[in-house]
Amino acid sequence: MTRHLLKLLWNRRSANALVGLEVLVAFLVLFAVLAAAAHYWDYYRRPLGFDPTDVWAVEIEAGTDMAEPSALNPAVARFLPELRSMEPVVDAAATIWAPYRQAGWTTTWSVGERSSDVRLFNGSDTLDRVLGMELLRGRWFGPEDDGSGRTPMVVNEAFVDALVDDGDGLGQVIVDEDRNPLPGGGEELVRRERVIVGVVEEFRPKGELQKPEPSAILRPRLEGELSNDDYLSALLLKMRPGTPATIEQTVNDRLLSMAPEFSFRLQPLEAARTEYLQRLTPLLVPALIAAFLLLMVALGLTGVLWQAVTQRIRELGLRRAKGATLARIRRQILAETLLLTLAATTLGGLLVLQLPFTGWFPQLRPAVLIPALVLATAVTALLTSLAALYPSWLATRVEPAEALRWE
Amino acid sequence: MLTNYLKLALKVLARRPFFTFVSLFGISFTLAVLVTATAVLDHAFGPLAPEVHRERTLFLDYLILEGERSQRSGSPGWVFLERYVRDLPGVEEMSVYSEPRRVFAYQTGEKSGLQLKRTDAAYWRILAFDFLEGGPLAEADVDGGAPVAVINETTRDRLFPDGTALDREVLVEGQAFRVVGVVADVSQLRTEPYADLWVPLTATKTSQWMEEFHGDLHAMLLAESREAFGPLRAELAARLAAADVPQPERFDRMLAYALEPFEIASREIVGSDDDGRPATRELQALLVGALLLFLLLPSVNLINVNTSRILERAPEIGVRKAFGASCHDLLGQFLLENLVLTLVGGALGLLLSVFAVEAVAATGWIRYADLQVNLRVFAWGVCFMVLFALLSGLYPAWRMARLDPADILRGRSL
Amino acid sequence: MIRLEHVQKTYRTDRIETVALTDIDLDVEKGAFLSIMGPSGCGKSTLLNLMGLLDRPSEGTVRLDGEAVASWEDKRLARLRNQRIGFIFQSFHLIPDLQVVDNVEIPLLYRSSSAGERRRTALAAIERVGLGSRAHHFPSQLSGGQQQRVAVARAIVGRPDLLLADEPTGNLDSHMGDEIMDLLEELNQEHGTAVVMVTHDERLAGRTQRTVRLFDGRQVA
Repeated sequence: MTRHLLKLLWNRRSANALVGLEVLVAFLVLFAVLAAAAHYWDYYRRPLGFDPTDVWAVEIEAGTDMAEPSALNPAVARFLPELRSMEPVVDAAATIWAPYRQAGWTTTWSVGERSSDVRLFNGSDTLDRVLGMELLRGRWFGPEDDGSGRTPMVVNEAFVDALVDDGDGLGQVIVDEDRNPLPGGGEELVRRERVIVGVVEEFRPKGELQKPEPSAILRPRLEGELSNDDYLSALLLKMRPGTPATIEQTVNDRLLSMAPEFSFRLQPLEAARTEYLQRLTPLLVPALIAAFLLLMVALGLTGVLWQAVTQRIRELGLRRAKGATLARIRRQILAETLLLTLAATTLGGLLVLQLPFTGWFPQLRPAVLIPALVLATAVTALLTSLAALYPSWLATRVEPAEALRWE
Repeated sequence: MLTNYLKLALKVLARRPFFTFVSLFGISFTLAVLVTATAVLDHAFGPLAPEVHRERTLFLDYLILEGERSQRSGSPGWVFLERYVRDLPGVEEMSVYSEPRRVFAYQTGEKSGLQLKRTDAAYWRILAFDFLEGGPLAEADVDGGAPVAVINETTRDRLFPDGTALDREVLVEGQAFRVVGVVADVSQLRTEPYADLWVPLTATKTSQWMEEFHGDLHAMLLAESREAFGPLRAELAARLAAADVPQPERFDRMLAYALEPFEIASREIVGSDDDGRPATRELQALLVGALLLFLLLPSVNLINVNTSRILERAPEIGVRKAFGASCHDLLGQFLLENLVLTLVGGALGLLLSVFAVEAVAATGWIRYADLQVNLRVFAWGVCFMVLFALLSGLYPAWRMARLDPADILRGRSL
Repeated sequence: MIRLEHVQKTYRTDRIETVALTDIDLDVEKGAFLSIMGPSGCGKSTLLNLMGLLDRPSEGTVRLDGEAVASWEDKRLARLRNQRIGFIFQSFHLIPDLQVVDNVEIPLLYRSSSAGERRRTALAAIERVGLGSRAHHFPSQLSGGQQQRVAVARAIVGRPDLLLADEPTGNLDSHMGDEIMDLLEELNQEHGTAVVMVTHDERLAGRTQRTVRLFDGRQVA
């Protein structure tokens, strides 16, 4: 039977080619949408590493350019105790950027043979309490690290996997050397040492859709000899639950009275999170368009198969006259459609499997590619069989006598 | 002959409502998407108010300092603009203004997020804002750093729900600005005029910005005509080539270009070449590619539906051939039928796109979007329709015209 | 007028080769009335298609007014069919979406004439077959005999020299069949139109000037 069907399919290849092309393109569209969905879902469901509940961000601006740590960090050192003393503030910390702000600082670090891109973030001693971060092992950095000559840092598991050979990573020292050009020529060798004091599962301050990758939170210096590594631009305040938004202005006024030369921008992290997710909603537009395209394809295929059925009434009638049952005819049409779908999706699958080798879409990791491929195949098959159902029902209603009369 | 075909075309469409529905659904949906996309593009790049002189305006919003091992890029600062961009030849008017910055105003017991832009006085002469109350920032306000502001309609209604805003104060970041004018809202996609609140360039807490090489400023250059673009750009390039690059131990060249909005969009969406020039061609190719890719599925679908529809009419084709129709005659007939179908579907699609455009505007994804299916967009829609009719009609018509009449009349094609 | 010399027609599919006609010699004179008879599948329709310039022979020559048509291009053949030949089919092949008058007009569409002139000519042809009152009906509103008369009107509207009829009465009862036959005889006698008719009916064949009998693709009489 299968051989017979394959032969039919082959003999009608010119008529089938365009229908096959349509199924193929529909499959590719479906795959693209599902792969994007799988990609975002895979990121979204992973831990964020912090809890934005009741945390307010205060972004500090000085002029138009980045505020130099030498100007800002001593002020931050004054702000933090002052803010902690305010009534609804539970705790306060300073960070390089407020969470959900789309800014980044990346570098490449090496330990022995291993090398990896690392995402860096500056956070002060109390950041773990303000953001409700839980350590898997080790401790958060604090005043006990003063004067050690090494910058303490808390890293995520991916960091340990990427850069630490064996062990839990605690105590691992990372050295990087940088040549800085000097004004008037020549170079200066800058050597920095950093040490892992704690490990968290994950930390993705840019938000739910940030790529999980090796990350480190470094301890910035607030006073003394400061460099660009100590850059800070935001304060985070853990507020008592249910603090009314009207307090924002009180906090803003207090900060302005302490440092009128700066500007402050207050926003609850939960509001920033809502805005962040809202900015992503336009991503739904392609999905919506794809859904309409697929509906159109399903309707179009129904029409095409319908016509093919009426065209083949004679052949089908002949088969019935020769004793084929109703169910068998229906099965034949379904099987032919599915066979065509199988051919188109196999070709589509082969095309899609080439994509990772092109390197154009690094997002197409196995966790995205495989579910998207399987789902796209299944949905395409479902769509085409739905489109075949009505015509196949139509075919079974043809009386053999009537069909043969056409002969 | 034409009337005969037209009559037939309409009858055929009415006879198989399902096929007609499928075709019309595909055509109208496809065109609605295209027209909506065109409306958004037109909204972003068309010559709309307040950018009434857009066709002879250039913008400079990006400065690259490049050395062997370091690169610094971003918006230019005051020093750079005054030193190298001021007084270029063929420029009728030059404006310097800041990028919009998000600020919060605590007023009427509520917090309002506002986009604040600092501008000079020329800004208001180049752009034709629609003033609902008061007037623009004056030369004297900018020179003296006066704490005055122009706000837009939405901001007025939010901050001063009880009526006029003139001479009342907006408090942001500890500074109080007196409102001197209220303008109609300008869409977020018009990046240069867009803001909620405009204050003098000089109304800042410190004057640090006046010493910056890189900063947060843009320049808008109103040329005498488009013909002045060439000499203007050449002079800018010559000035930069001859300039002393700051921090010569790190950087050895300085790149900046006076660009049109589409070129700026190209740089932001696609990127730029080694010399920092925007990848305009690539963006154009990308748009055309996206268009063709999007058209592929609806076209193939329509081709298949059309082919089926035509095969069903095999006897008619046979008869026409027998009575003397040549392949050309038949090709013409079916292309005409397809054109009628596409026109009907296109009309539906245009109607649909009016709703789609309103829906997009209602999502609030684009602030103050005043999207419209205007005449220009409509003209594009008609172009798409004809393209679509040809794309989806040629193959089936060709296939039909080649059917063997002898086969058909014998009933052998079944 | 039309002449077939040693004509052979073979159909080829991927593997099978079917010989439909072998070594046919046939000459249709101006004003002749010819019938073709033979069992089902003997190649009658193929013969008609060859004479109608709808098909080309695999071997042999088809001559129109002494000229071989083998090398003529599609456009020229289409024009010849349009001006010289009229077709009548067993199952009428009227276009269901068009009114009677629009159906009859079809051959005139592919000539250069004005719409008014076309309409007048078409109405005259409809009058000629006795359906003047039905010009604005759709085919589905007519009986089988009436439909075939519309088909005859369509075949003669362009004043062809040759009418090719493929079992014109095959789908009709004998009374209606006779009416159509009368019409064909009239056309043949009054206008000198040559008629070639395929039929199964000995009685109808007896009314023609000459009968060609085919068996298994061969001319047997």
